[in-house]
Amino acid sequence: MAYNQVTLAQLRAQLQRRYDAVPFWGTGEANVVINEALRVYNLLTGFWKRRVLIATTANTVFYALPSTLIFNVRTEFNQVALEQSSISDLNNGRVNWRAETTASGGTVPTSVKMWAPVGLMRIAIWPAHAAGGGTLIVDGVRQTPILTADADFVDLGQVELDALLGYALHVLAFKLGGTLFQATLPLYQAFIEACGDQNIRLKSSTWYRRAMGIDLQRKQHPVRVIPPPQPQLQAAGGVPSR
Amino acid sequence: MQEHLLETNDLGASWPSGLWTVQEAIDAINDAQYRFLLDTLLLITPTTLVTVPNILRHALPTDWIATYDAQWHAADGTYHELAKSDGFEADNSSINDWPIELGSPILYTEGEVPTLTIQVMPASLDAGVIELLYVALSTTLSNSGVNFTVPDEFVPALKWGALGMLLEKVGRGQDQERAAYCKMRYTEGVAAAQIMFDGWA
Repeated sequence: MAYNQVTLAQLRAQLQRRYDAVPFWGTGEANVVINEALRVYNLLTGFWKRRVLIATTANTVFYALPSTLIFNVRTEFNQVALEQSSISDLNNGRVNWRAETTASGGTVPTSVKMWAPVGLMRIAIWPAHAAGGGTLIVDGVRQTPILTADADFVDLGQVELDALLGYALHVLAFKLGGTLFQATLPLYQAFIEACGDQNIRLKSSTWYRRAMGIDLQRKQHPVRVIPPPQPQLQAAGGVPSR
Repeated sequence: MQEHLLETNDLGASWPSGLWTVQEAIDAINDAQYRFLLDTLLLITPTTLVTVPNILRHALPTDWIATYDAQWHAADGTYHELAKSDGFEADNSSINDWPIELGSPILYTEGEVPTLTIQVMPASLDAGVIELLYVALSTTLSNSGVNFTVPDEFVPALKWGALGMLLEKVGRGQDQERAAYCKMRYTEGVAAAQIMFDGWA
């Protein structure tokens, strides 16, 4: 599906067509929920990404990511991809990894080989770059583009657009409560499903199954256990007994 | 939050319905952020605790919430992990004389000691330090324009968490059904953080 540039004014107009013209919701509120929809979509899918360059400093293990990145997805060192690890794996695999640099010698590589996330906004590399002056190329999820002026725009396909507007309408309906709010829950589920289509890992999470009500259906339709066939006693000559 | 609860939107300056106060709303948002940081271990801060030889217990940073990783950085420059443990395990291990014998620490505990205190077992005999990765308390939010500590993408989860607390309040404003929904939306943010750490598809 082709992506179109959609402005805040266009998004708001499409949203406002979905609720009663009597102003129970103001323009400002519509703008807020549209931006919330964009943020949650980016949170669940990592839709918007960017690349940043970080210069290495001598013997430094930990590097802070710029605030424009939410999370790191992939890292290169001097244009060579690094293998992703974790603090736990590094602790278990190489006890003294924090002290090792590219100049340590022995079994320590002479180039940076691995990276590990340290929370969202920091990474660790192994081994540390002894000389410094190298370049870490970090690909990650960037901050969501927030629309403030009517002419601000985002690139969205029609599928994403429908899901986002449905989410926005659902959030607007929260203040109504009761059956009116309950009636918009399918819009939220459609939004979550659209996020799951973008991020397959979301679909395998327990939270997704609960949010979509999949676990509930399993409880309502218990699996019927078919008992195994009982062995039959037979009289001499092979004739089954009655 | 005000718009969701049918209050006049004045950027949190007042809650004219009288069902909640300004401070309750601010406290709910702060509590949501603290809890979120603890549930997700989202933002990790490195620090060095300078230890004193022959001393078992050392002060943790005053903004400490939880420990993510602890390493012993010995005086000779080498590192090794301090495993999270407790007194019972240490008493029944090969270092069961840890209260009186010095050595290179291999275990740590925060559970049997006063608050904001970490205990290493055994106590060190040299001028090594504890290199700590921990979750720090977030900046206290208020109505005076303080930014959230977590990235903006997680702020909706905090909003829903705070709304859930307000809607659970016993009184005229209680709405358990919507409070349960808000809790579900809060766990959405927690699940998203966990998926991020597990890696994208």
